[in-house]
This record gives sequence, C-alpha cells and structure tokens, in this order.
Amino acid sequence: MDVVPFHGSYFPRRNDKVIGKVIEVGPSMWTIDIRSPYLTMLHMNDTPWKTYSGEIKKYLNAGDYVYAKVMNVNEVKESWVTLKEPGQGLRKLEGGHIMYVPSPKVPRIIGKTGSMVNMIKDATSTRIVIGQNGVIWIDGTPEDVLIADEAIRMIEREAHTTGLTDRMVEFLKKVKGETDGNAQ
Amino acid sequence: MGTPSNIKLIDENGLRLDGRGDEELRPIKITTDVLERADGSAFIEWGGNKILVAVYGPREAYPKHTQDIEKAVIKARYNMAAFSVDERKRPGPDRRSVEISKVISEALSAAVMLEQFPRTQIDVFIEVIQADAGTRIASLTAASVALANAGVPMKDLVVGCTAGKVEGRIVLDLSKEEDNFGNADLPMAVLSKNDEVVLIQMDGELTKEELNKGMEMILKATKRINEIQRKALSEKYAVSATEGGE
Repeated sequence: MDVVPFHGSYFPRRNDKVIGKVIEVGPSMWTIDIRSPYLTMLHMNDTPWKTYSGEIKKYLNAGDYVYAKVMNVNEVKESWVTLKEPGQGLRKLEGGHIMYVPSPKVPRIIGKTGSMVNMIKDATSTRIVIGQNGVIWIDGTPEDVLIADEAIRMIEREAHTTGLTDRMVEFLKKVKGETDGNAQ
Repeated sequence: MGTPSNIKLIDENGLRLDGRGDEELRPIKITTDVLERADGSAFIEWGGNKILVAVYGPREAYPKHTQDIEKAVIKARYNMAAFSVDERKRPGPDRRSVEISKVISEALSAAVMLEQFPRTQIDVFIEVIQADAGTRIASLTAASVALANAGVPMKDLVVGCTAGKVEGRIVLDLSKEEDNFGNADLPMAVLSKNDEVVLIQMDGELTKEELNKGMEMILKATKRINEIQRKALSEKYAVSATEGGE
C-alpha cells in the first residue's frame, strides 16, 4: 500500500536530479542538504574536476549549490549524488536565485515534457533549473526572476486544479505586458 | 472518578447536565493549517476542549540513540497549559502527561507508515489550551489530522471517543462533571476504516456487558467524528478547486 501526499518532504530516489546546498566540506566528500530528512554525500571522484584529498574546498565550498544526480540510495536511506554524467546539465550552480516548493508539486511545475517551465522560461527570458526535491534555481534580471517566482508560486497554489496551463498563458501575457510598459 | 456528590448528572427526562442524550456528542470543530511554521497543524474544539497540534518532520532523529535504523519514531508531547483547567496546573510534564504522550505516540504509530523513513523522528506537539474531559482522545483525533495535513503517509486516520458510566447508565463522550463525578470513563481510539483498536484505557469499574456496550457506542460515534476529520482535511482543497476549476 502506498500514499501520495499533496505536500511533505522529499525522499531521494535513484536517478532523480536534485539541487542541493553544500553544508560541509570533508577531506574527500561534500555533505549536501537536499531538503530531505536525510543528508546526501558527494564524493570527489564523482565530480568532473581533478581533485586531491584535502583540497576539494577549491571547487565547492559550504553554501554553494549544485545540480546533481542521485546515484544510489540504500535501505537506510543513505544516498550519494554525482556530478559526473555528461550531457545532463549537472554542475555547480553559479549566481542565480534559489526558491523552494514542496517536492510533490514539481511535476506540475515542469509540465508535460517540460511545457510549463519552458513557457515561463520563454516569457521571462530566465534560465531555470528545477530539482526533483523542490529546489528551483532561477537566473535572469531581478525583474524577470520575480515574475518567474510569482508564476511558480501560482502553480504551487493551484497544482491540483485543472485548466492551469491556460491560466498561466493569461498570467504571463498580463505581467509581460506590464513589464513592457515599464520599460518604455 | 466516583467522587461522592449530590449533583444530579442525569435529570428525570433522561437528559444529561448539558442537555445531551445518552449517545449524543458534544459539538466538534477541526481546522487545519493553523500554524505557519509547522509542517502540519490542526486545532480542535471538542465541547469545551481547545487543543492545538503541530507536526514537524519526518526529520533526522535526535538524540542519535533514539534513531531506529528500520523505521521512523513518533515523538508526541502532550502538554497542558497552566491555565487550561480551573485550578492553575503546575506547568511542565507530570506523571499524567508523560503517560498520555506515550499512549498517543503508540496509537499514532499504528497508523503512520513508519517503515518509509528509517532513522527519522516525527514530532507531534499537543498543547491543551482549555481542558474539558476527554482531552487525550481529542488530542489524538486532532493529531492524526495534523499528521495528514503535514503530508505524512498514513494507512488511516486515528479517531477517538470516550464512553463512560454515569449514574448507572452508559453514555457517550463524558463532560467534565460526568468525568469527575461519574462511575467510569472509557477512552478509546480506532483506525477509522477497520475499527482496529489503537488505544483503550479505563478508569473506574465496568462490567463486561457495560464495557461491550460502551465500545459499541464509541465505534458508532467514531464514524461521525471521522467525517469531521475528513471534511477538515479536504476543505482547503475544495475552496481552491472551485476558484480554479473548469
């Protein structure tokens, strides 16, 4: 038996791509907070950089954000993430803004094959990365980031309703009109 | 319990002090999402009881020796405010509240899918703001709503009710006077769907027949209380669905 809650914390699953914050740097591993009851680990050998034990701080320090993929989760929910899979956009996230949503709302924000998030990206000309754990990274001008933030909050509020895509089109059209007006 | 008194608890028409019949509940109202910072919360008003429940977690269990490598642990804390009763209660945990915290933790553990989050704890803080008999089952009823509100996966909602013996009659949902001056008090909690008993305690004396009758009355009442729980949980979604529905 299983239950799918409307909200609640994130639990790492293998192959999920998540955004995490480095909270501790060890000799050969980073400890990463992925907004889950469990912390996760990133080993220096699972990064694209040539690192040596004891000096991994040069590449990632406490407070940095990474877009990483969950490599493995064991029975007691210990997990390890990797940055070393080419072509999947895994990387250290530099600059940008971080926002949080409940992880069960993530599929709705992404939309069918990314339709919803692409719409927001196009309309606001921002770069957006969404982690399965509900952490979202947005990069762009402060005005655009605020609009994207508001659009995502709207999805979060109305995730369980129908006809959301249409309302999003309307919303983006409206706020975009406003920003254009201000720009003059 | 059983304190001799000359208060007439049931009048000549068979009505109780507050005008209720034998199987009548006090009014119950549950609201969810009352606390901003908690992962889930609920507020229950059950007769004169006012109880606030906050749920945090699942989160990493601390201190570390309390962790269970196979499942989550539920840490419920039942606490009565100093001003919750007529005579000021000395604040802090006492023998009674430690016991209630324990039985509530155990009852909730029967419903929550603990195996899904090993090594974590789920905190359930129960603050009794105003007490009026039956706080443990009211707390439990609200706590399971708060857990569901927090998005903690559960097999079922826990729903409780009391029965008791007042002037020789078995009645449902004792009031404060009936609790203090009646003959027996029987709080019980079940899982709403299959009536699995997760908490039963008894204070006073009941015969086997009286106990069975009391349990039967409680089981019937829990169906009604469960409706209130479900309504409390679905309410906020219903509102936004009509706002944004087709």
